[in-house]
Amino acid sequence: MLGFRLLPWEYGVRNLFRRPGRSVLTLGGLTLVVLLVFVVVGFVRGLETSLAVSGDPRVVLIHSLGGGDNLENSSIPARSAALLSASLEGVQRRQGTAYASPELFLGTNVSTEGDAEPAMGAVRGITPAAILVRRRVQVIEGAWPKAGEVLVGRLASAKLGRGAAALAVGRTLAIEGQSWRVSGHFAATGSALEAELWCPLEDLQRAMKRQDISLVAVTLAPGLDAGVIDEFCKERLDLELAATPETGYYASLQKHYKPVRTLAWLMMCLVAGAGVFAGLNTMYGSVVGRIRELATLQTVGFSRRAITIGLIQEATLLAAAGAVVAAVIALLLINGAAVRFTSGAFVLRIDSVALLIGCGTGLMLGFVGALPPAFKALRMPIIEGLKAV
Amino acid sequence: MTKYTKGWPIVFLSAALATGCGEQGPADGPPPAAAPRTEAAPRSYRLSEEPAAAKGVIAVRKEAKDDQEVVVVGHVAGSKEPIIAGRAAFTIVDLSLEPCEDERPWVYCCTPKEELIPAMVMVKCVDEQGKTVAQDARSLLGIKEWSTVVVRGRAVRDDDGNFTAIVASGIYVKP
Repeated sequence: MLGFRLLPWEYGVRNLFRRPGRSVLTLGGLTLVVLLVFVVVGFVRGLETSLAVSGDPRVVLIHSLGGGDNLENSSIPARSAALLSASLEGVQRRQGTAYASPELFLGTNVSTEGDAEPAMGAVRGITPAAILVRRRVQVIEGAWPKAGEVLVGRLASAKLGRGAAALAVGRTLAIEGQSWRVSGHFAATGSALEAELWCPLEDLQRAMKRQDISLVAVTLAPGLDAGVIDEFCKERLDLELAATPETGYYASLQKHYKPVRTLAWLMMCLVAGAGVFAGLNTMYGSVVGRIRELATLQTVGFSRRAITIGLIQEATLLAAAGAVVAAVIALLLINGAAVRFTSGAFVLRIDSVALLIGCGTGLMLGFVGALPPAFKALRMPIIEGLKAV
Repeated sequence: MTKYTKGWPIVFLSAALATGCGEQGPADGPPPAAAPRTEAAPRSYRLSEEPAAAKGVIAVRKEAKDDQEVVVVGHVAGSKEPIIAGRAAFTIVDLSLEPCEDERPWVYCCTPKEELIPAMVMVKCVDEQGKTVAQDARSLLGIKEWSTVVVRGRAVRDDDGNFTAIVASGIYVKP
């Protein structure tokens, strides 16, 4: 069909086992390169996924004018929640209760038991209304916090740079000079909330000697859009409030992280590029040591194209094996590993996209890496090749 | 071939039905009256000529009484998104306020709230029921951020006397 006779498939496979030392080294190198690609892609995918799932399209954040870029800087009167609940028609209600959650959000030093140095943590003062608005939050261990207690997000330990044991239920934390007992843990489908520490709003206000709040998160009634809240805020300028859809808030954060993502992709390209050169080097070594063999194959009638395809087959097989080994390691060790980041923490995600990119890069390394040495070896005249030592 | 001939009866039937419908109408009497429209056609709020004697936003906020007819001029500005998405409503800012940056002058990011709020007001177009028209002001009025508009409308103050909005009857967008 091709117009020429290919080398038998088994020939290439057997060749890999004829030089086990070299094959294992090449496999190790390729595995390492693909693993690095997995780490970088897993980082980018984890960051993107964390920000993408963080916003609820039905939730609008009402904060102070100009406070939309960084909610920690927002400060509005504590009475805003009651006022908004009473004034806004677009807020979802159930049995007279408005889905409006007043929250105090700040980044502050958090100390865990036995650690001399405090770490920067994200703390949110909440009321029971938070569970109405934050639909993705689920208490996975322990209980909702009472006075003097704190509910810990699943990734808060990663954000604080501490082991999970430091934030186990029953342990004590120090926030703003006050001790807080860990009442339980919560998950929020991988969103940014999982890196936070939640404590009762009034307790946090008392500890911080503050009477204001940072924001009111409201859930829109079905069928309404954020425009209804935005219109209210722009009409009641005397309240000095502004509204940002939660999805818009996290989308703007994603925009801030664009350079980080670009850098990560660049790093991945560099790693892959380095991998190609490493592969080239190994394949050069492999092919140069086999010049006589390749010349002999030509003598017995195999065309240069067939031999080139055979060499590509060997390299691609090795690269595919390396990609599979790297994928297994990545799924077992890297997937789900928590990473601390400025906004909080997220988990590295080896999903289908990451697997496709990682394995694709591995195969590309094998294919591209085999071409130049194969061309070089086959350009040599057959007689000279047969004489080569 | 069989595949094509199987479709012919359907074609003939459709043609006969279509012809039949067309012929019966006039024979039965006068054509029926047009069905009542469920939605009123969107009113044009855009003015072709600039209203005279326009005042600045600061002056109107200070002087205008509730329900008073006003003509006010200003920039579409006051925040990152002065035009409310999906609604015929937007905020305007007094022309005297100096913008902070050239790239997005409408944000007024460095202007203190105490200075910005008295120089800013919301303009909205409402329907017969008094509800804000559910059409984006960009498409309804042809405005964009930093457009200069002259608004003719009615001042609205709340029970506490706070100036809340101008309900527009006509808007002229300066070229």
